[in-house]
Amino acid sequence: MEQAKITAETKDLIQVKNLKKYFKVGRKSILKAVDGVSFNIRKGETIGLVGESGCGKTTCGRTVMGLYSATGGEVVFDGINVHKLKGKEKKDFTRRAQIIFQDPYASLNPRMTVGDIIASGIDIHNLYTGKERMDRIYELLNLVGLNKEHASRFPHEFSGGQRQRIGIARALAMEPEFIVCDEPISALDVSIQAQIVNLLIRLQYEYGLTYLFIAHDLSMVKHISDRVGVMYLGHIVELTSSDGLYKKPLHPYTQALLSAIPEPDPNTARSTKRIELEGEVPSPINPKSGCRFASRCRYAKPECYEITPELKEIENDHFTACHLFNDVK
Amino acid sequence: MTGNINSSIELNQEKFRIVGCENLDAEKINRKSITFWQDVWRRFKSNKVAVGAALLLLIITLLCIFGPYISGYEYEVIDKNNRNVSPNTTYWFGTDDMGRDLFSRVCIGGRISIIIGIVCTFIMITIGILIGGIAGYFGGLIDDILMRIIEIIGSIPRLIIIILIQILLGRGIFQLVFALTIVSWTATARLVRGQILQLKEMEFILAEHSLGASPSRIIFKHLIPNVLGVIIVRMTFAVPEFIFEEAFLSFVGLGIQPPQTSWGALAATAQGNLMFYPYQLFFPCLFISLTMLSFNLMGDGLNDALDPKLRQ
Repeated sequence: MEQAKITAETKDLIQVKNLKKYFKVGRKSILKAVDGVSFNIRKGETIGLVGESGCGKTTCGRTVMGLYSATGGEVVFDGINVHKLKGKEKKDFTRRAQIIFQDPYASLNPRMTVGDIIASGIDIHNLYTGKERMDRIYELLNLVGLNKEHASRFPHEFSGGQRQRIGIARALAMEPEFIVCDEPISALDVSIQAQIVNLLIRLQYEYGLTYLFIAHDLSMVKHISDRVGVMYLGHIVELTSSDGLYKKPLHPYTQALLSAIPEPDPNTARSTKRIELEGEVPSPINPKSGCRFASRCRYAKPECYEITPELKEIENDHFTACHLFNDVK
Repeated sequence: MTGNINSSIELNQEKFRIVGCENLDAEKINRKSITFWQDVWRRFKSNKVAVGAALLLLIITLLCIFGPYISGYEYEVIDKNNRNVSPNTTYWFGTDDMGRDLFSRVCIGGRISIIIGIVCTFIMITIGILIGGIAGYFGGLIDDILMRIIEIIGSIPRLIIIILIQILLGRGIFQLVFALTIVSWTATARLVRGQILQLKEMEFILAEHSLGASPSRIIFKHLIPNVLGVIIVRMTFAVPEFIFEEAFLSFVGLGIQPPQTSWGALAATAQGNLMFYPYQLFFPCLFISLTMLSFNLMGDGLNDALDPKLRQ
């Protein structure tokens, strides 16, 4: 695959600035799902977002798409603020940015035929009608490896992997530049995961797509992403190139996360020591100030409980939010 | 043991050949393509009890429509010479204490009962979908206000509202329908609201939002088709409830007034003669019971056929 090399100089397609999304739970409690996240996505790159369940990855992805209104901060897509869009501008934005959902069983309307599901975007934006519309549906089905006959069938007749591809076809119908892949593979079994990931890589190559790839499978993220952001309880704790992250993780949380990847070779597995984290993930409801990871961190210092560390560049294009690196530079 | 197996089956390269991977059929679906409603019909058909109940309902309905013409007697004509005649070949269900043919009266009464059941159900469902849909879809303050109204209506005993309406508006079919629907839409609204709230968060609705869909497209193409199954089941259970309620109200004298009649009103007049002419009470009651039973059994069948959780 020959693709233009994405470097730090490549133009940003999306800038996420200090994005916050809080949910009200009960009278006084606030769930801070995404709490001041900043990153940029360069044109044509895949940025991975990893973290354990409940750390705010999905909320982050949906807020970037404008599906949830942001509590604070902004998302700038090619110069336009996603959360300030209204009416027609908002509709136009949906042609440029799309999302693929996590659960292939919940993301397709059970009462509609696959053809109609794929054509949803086409119908909403009146892109094609009549025969052209059908041709476009067949073309899209073909693109994701399904065939013509599937257009008249209903979602319940398909397997999980096939359904996920229908969801991908629906997103592609809009010919978007940017796709949020919200854990598109986590509900599928391993043999199908590779199929979907390879399809996504192929589509990126053919159409020059930009992905925000949300997942919790670290090896899969490494395979697909150019850069990876590690999230912990609504904060991004580390952001760097995927090679950099795997070779030299800086943040203690990333180190623990990476050491949890199962090692296929038993000899290597015996020699490497897994960093075990103690305790549970603290609740994101009314979180304490300071570093979110402090309560489980081996290196926690008193200041970690007081001051929230900011994401700063430690090495070239390698960002981390940890007080351990305060002395650097 | 392991050694034996290894020596008896020697595995070497020559014993294997590459068959390749047949990709052609990998995506093929062998099952016949059927729509959701075809699938529902297929499952409903396989439920013999429900089909039997549906047939019985059809027979009762046809009887109510064509019955008076078959018997040859007007339901209002009083025949002084033939009072309280027991069922025989001329008067199939006998006559009442004024000499009117009971068969014709049961059929005519059935018309009123079934019409009230169906009309009330439709009005109730329409109001229920509208209010429940609005509350569920928009949520927030609108939802809060509507739900409080529903709670207030639900907290007043139904009978009191019905009696008050009849005192204010008088007695008759329209007043009865009005009274019955005004107290009963709340349950449907709650049901629809719950369904919409649940569906609203589903990913396929979020997907529509991300595609830029308008609220009307989301409501009519996605939400309503998906709550339709639940609503149909609710309707089949609502019809017998209304028939029963009408019968009860007519029985205690709050419902249909003479000369009009219904199954409940027939039962009420027959009650006085119960000691001597029990058949006068038996036939209207039989029809009420059969209709209610059929609707309930059919509703059960539809519930099973429509429940997406039972789908494979």
